[in-house]
Amino acid sequence: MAQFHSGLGEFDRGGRTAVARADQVRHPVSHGVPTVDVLIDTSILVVEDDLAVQEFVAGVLRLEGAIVVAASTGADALSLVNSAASPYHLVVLDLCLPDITGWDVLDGIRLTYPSPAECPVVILTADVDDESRRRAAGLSVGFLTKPIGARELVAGLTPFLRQGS
Amino acid sequence: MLKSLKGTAAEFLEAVPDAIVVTDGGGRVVFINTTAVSLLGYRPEECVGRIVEMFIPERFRRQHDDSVGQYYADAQPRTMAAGKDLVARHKNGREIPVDISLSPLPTDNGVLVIAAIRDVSERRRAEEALRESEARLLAAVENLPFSFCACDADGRCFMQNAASRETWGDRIGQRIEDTGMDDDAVARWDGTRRRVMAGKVVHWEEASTRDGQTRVEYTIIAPIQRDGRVTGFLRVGIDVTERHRALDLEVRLRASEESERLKDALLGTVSHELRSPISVIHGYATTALEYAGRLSPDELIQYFRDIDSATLRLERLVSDLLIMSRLDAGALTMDLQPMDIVPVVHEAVRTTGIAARQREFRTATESASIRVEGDPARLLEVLSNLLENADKFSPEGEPVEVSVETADENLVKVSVRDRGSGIPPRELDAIFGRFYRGAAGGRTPVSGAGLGLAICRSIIQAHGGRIWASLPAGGGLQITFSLRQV
Repeated sequence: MAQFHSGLGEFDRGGRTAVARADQVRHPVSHGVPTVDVLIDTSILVVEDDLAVQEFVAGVLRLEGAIVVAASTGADALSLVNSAASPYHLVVLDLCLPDITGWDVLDGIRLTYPSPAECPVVILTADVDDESRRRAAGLSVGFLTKPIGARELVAGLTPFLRQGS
Repeated sequence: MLKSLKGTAAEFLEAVPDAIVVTDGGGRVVFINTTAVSLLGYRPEECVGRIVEMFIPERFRRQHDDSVGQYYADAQPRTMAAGKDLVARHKNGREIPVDISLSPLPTDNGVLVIAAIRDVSERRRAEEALRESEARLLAAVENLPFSFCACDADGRCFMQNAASRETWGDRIGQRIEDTGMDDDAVARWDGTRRRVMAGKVVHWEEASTRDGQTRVEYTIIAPIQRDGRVTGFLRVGIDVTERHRALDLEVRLRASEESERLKDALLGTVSHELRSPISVIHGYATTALEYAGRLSPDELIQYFRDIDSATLRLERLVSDLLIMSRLDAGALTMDLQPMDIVPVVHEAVRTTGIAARQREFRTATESASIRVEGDPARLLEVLSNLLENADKFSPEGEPVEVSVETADENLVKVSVRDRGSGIPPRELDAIFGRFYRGAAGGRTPVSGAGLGLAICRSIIQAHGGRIWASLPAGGGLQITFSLRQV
């Protein structure tokens, strides 16, 4: 059990669940300090057709210090990818777009940047079926599902950030 | 006793083109002309003086013997054995179909009988062929696997096949209207008969229940035309009960497949459409919680606005689904009443304008009050739906136009027009289907369950009105619905 003791929901010796402390862990109030620092000054492309969701994702990433560009369609996303001076540190990609699918966008990105390490992609979708998840794993891209909280979003994206400047 | 006929009479009879045999009171041949000789094969010396029955096949001789006596009792010119197929016997035994006319010829030696014999082999063969062809035709009609009868100009049945007899009983000589129709049916039938007698073909399909069994019959009434004149009509009745049953089954199967498909589409759409606003709510709520200290009051207010509008999206989705399911169950009743449509239009514009603050709505009504028959609450829903759609698909800065006009004294038309990119013409009808999503390639992000227009259509149809989409000159999409004016 030792490996579980450092995380959330720690048990004390009396056997009571440390509810109050776990709650605090889930909703830390950061008072002006970014929760993580790895996102500071990274360039991130958010591809999402639902404007409210797009603003939420972009907003959180900006709060974490990232430089965010957003696109509502696959075509816009690809033109941003191709016109950028250097590859984005990360592309957050919705699968359901009004023009082409997120998978098509991913194919387009891979034409320009064949290596996942060069231009990492994390899929963020309301589509929860296992087929999509497997497909994402096969293409070495991240897979997050909506709805997602601010903290899970940050935690889910950071492992995929492109290393280096 | 006269042995043979000679002299003028004989010469005269010799000249007759028919075969002539003259007999005396005892049935003996007294004369035979050349034509008869060649017909029967006997020379005069072989038959004169002999009993005439030598010309008759053996099996008919007794009968002939009886008839001879009767003829003498009332001798006058007549056709022998009228209506019967007479046969003469040739010397070589061959039988020849003949017609025979008899005439008494009083002489000094008693009454002789002149028999004029005509070879009718050809006619009999033709008659036989005709009978055969008629029998074949009748057998074919009799065995038609559907009910068939033919009636004359008076409407009386003169021909009926087995299937017809089975259904209607023996109807020969009767009229169709004699089958126990009620007054309505007689009046309808009268109209039908008149059209058919004017040369038209009339057909219909009708279900009837007899002895607890429902039968569906497809009936065709067609004129019988001869030399360009209608001389009667045919009635064909085909039992299509089984086909109907199969079709019904197929329709029900299709309907159930369609309902399965819709259910799948519903689940897919609902889960996606629910997740979308939930994502927004969860996202902004957690952002506000995580980053409260770094957010300005304005940012926080914006977050709560977004949360609120996502909640409204959820509310809209849930109420759309509820209305749709009530429509499906036939449980959505319209409270139709005379009402003024103008204030409802203004109210819809006002409430939609609250959410779409950047949008200009231009309203044009023909007069300050236009009375229609409708359910004010449902019509407000339709208008709100159309206005929200128009707002959603209009580019920034372009107005949405609403107009109310009286099309004629009975009809009022309400139109909502946007200035968006429109839709492909082939989808003008499809947009009223459930779960219709804007065509791929549109630049405006689409949200919503794709139920709005389907609901609008159902509501307008329940008002007895029509709703349609058009692509007006100058671009954009216009949705128009009509209502009854009162």
